[in-house]
Amino acid sequence: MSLWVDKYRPLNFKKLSYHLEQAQQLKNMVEQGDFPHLLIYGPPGAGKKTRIMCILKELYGNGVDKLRMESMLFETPSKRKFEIMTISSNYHIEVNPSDVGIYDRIVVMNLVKSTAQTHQIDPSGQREFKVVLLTSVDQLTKDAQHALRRTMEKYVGTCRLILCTNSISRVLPAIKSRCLAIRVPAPKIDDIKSILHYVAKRESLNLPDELATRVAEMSGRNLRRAVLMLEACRVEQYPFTAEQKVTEPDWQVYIRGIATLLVTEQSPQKLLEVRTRFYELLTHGIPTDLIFKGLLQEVTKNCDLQLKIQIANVAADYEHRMHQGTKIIFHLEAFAARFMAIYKKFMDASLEAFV
Amino acid sequence: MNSFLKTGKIGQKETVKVPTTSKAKGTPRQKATPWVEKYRPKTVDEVVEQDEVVEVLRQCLSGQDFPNLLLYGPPGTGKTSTILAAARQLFGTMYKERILELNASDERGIQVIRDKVKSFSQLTASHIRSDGKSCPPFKIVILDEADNMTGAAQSALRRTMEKESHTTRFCLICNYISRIIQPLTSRCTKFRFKPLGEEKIIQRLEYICNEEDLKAEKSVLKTVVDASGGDLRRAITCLQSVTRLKGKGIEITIDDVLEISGIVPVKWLDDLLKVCETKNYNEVEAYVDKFMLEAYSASQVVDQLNDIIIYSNILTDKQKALIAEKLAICSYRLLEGGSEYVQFMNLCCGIMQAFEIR
Amino acid sequence: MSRSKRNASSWLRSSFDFDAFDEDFSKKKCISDFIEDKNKETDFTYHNANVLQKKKNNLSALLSTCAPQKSSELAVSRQKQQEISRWFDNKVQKGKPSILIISGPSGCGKTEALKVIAKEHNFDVIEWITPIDQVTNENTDEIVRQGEIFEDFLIRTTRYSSVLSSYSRRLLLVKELPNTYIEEKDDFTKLLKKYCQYGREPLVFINTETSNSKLLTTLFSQTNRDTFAIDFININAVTQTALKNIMKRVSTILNTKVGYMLNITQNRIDEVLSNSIGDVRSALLNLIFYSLKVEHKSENECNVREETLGLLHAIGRVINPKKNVNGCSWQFVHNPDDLASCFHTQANTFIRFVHENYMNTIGSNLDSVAMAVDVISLADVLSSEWKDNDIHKLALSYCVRGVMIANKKPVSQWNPVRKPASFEFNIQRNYAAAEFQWYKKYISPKLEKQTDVEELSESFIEEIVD
Repeated sequence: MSLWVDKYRPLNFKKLSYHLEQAQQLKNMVEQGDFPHLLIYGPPGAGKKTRIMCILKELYGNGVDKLRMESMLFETPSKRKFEIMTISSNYHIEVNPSDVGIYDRIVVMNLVKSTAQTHQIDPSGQREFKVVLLTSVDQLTKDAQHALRRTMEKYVGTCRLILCTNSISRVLPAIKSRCLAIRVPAPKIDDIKSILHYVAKRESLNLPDELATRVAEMSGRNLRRAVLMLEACRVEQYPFTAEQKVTEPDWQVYIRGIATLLVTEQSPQKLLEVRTRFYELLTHGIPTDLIFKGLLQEVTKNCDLQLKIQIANVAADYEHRMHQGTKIIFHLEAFAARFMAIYKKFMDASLEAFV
Repeated sequence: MNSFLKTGKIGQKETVKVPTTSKAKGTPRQKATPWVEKYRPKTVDEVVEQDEVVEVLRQCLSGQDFPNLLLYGPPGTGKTSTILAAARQLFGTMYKERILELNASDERGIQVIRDKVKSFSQLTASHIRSDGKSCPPFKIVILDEADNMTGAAQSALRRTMEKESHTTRFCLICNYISRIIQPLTSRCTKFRFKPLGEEKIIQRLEYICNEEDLKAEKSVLKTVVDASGGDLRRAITCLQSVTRLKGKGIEITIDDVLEISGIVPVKWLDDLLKVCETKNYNEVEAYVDKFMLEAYSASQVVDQLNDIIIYSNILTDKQKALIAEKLAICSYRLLEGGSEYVQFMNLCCGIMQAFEIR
Repeated sequence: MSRSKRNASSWLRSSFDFDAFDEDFSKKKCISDFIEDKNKETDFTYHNANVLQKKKNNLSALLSTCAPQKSSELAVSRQKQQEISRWFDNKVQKGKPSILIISGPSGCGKTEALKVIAKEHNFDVIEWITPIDQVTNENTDEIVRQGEIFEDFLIRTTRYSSVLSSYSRRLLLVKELPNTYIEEKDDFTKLLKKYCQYGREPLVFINTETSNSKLLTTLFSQTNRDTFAIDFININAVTQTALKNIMKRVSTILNTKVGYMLNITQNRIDEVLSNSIGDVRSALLNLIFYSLKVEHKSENECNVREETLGLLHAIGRVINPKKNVNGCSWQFVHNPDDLASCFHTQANTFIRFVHENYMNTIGSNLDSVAMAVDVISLADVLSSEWKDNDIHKLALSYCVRGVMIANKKPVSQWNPVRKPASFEFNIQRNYAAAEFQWYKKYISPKLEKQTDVEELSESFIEEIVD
């Protein structure tokens, strides 16, 4: 059984339903037979991966569909061994180097090297190069990115890199300049709606337009999430009603809960409680920028402009410190504490004014 | 960065102008050559602008010798092209053997510098070229992106430079001369490369368009130049990327250029300032959300906003100062890996505050 | 003969040569992990004293003299003792199997508690120790699998009793499982089933809680516990007062019995106490080594020993700063720099401790809290820089000073210093995959058991092959 997200994933350029002009351009490029390294960027759920798979399909035909999962073994100079999961076909290999943390440099260098050095003995001889697909490039260490740029130019003859990332702010300019950057914006609400309707139709479900609109809006223009939400709704309740509950991932709810805690009472005791909740989030591996973003969005809801600006300022400060430091919890807690202090002062002042 | 185009693994297309130095292997399929490589100047005289440097180098070349060089200047102004062209003129076909090129992405610790440079400089160089002409009896070590070298490695170089001076010339290339330690700069002749003038770049681009059979309006080329900020390499790469996506023989439009170079459309920036002027936090929040979903990069906005703020007629100096400070902080934090949303939000708040004082 | 073999098969050892056995036993204890299995038979105290006379440096014997003899001497709280007793009274029936798991942090006295209480209920404790050497079958010369030996132990050990044993009942104690079971959960379930069928005597598992032990979730999962009616008792770390009492008791024993080699003073006890959190074993070991009489003469020169400061003590001084007010100027009783200088080598640990505990005494002033945590946050940034050695010192000093100054009016109430939680945050999860996973679980709960990444990519592969 597969989820709808996978079931209705378009497999070639013809089936894509939005960003059509771009699709045509990509098709053009592939048809020319050769292309530089690609850097594909866009928010989550915008269809980056789908487009990459379309490119591969266009390049190599059905051969890319025969996928296998392998774990590759690498060794650090200090003789430490580690494994990383790869997904590969005869023509390409996909890997997320940031899985192995600080050893990503070794993965990047060795993987590209070994892929580039094994020549394809393929009777059809379609292409002279293989494709290495690296995901979450923005999470690579600076070290790995430097290594990447060297390997990129060294093996350009036998291998093409496709880099996939959410934001290019964290990608080194040196890498950006070596790649053809392709922006994949998030689909419009209407695009998502029409896709939801299409899916519903194929599943022969009756989807009220209001629900489709709500799901599309709640998804934050994230197509993957929208389709997943729709399927979750289907499990929850069918036939659909316009007002039915749309399920969100529990960590969203949890982060909102923390924000509510912060706003309702400001005291060191509450801060301790917030600290345990932060620990909870962190042990579940929730990305920190998600936590910061969620908190900032939630806590500023009932403040006045000056306060909001102040809080945004504080949030940016601690967010930055978190990236410089090593102990995430300190900085999250510092933000929470600072917010409490500011907010309390604000509330006291407005109370006094009221009296 | 030049080395993207220097890998030499791809065979070069035979065009009339390419001299015999390229090692074209007869591959059955014609492969696309990076244009930057294809249109790299072949002689010192071909180098765009930089008259001063060229003049000095020409003098040196006629004397068949030159001192240790330190070339610095913004990226894409022809530093590497110049030294390569000079070497080519000096050594002719042998120039591959006579040059050791190390750039920052190579392993470049102290030990590597010592070993590689040492073993390279110990090879003797004859003063006769393979074709019988005479050539200077030395080799050139090119250290690209020298400002990325550690202080220790630079110090190690100092001694090597003196010791090997009879057989080897060093050429350091960097963007920021302030990052090169004093003892090294004092051992080299320094050349500053000016940013290229817009006219010169456009001329070059027009020449390439002509060669490659492209149609592009002058205004489009101007956009290309703007987008690449005076960096000729970026401009050429951008041009080539557009053709790759669009196919040949198609007219290039401004939109294509903007899309490829990742430039944020002016409309978005205007909206940003407008929405900040309303001083409505919620609207700003909505704007930032929307902006993030369009996948434009926040660091790009910071760069572009900088120009807009500086040349703005509406803002007072104090406001400009405030915003510029925020921009600087934001840019730094983004580079350090900060969350785009949070930092961008902070930037917008800063701009809002700046609008408040008036 | 390996010690493990003896333990595993003590039931078939002839018990006639009691003396030899005993001798053998105490020798083995020297080499064995002296802490783990302490002796519980009463006459051994006497015996050990004898051994002590012979071997002055026998640490294990030393330790076993300190072992509690009565339930009142145990480190485990009275409530938990009663829980265990109750289990003996209610759940253990003659000739019927019953299983108990005792779980708790290391050194909280789980084993000792069980042994003492078992003794009081007239049980002989037989402990399983996983053999280190390979055991071969005497008849066939084949290597016997560890799992089989273990099974043997569980099912058959209790069938035969030693003639000389004065105990009426026996109890099986398992502190470590053969590694095979960690991989093969099903085998373990089968084994438990078998035990429930054939076993005669109660069986106790002792699980030491470490950060990465998953025993409770894998082998003793809730379903397993329910099917085999396994009781579960969780024991907390030892409280500071209990630890103090134990130290007091032990010090008198040790001072009287081995006064020729140890010299335990109240000072030393205090110092050890201030440095240990809830671990009796380590506290005891520290105390013994700390108080060893040094024979060579250099002691005189070392007389002006620098004041070493326990970690917890120092934390206390930081989070509860005392001031000397002198007119309108004041200064701290304990100089922040001195405090910091004691912990240069473990700056990170110290900062983490301060973070965990600074809120204990800060009262309800939010501004102070915000300032203190801001200081800590900056200290973390500073100490993450590897550029310079001195910057660590700087960070620590800044942290100590900042927190002390931020806390303007420390609330002096009794607050235990807590250990910081040890979390590993380097899990970088792919957010998209996580979200996908979450919905997938939601949509089709039966897929839940498989692991994250595999499942994701597998379904992805299937889809594309279609």
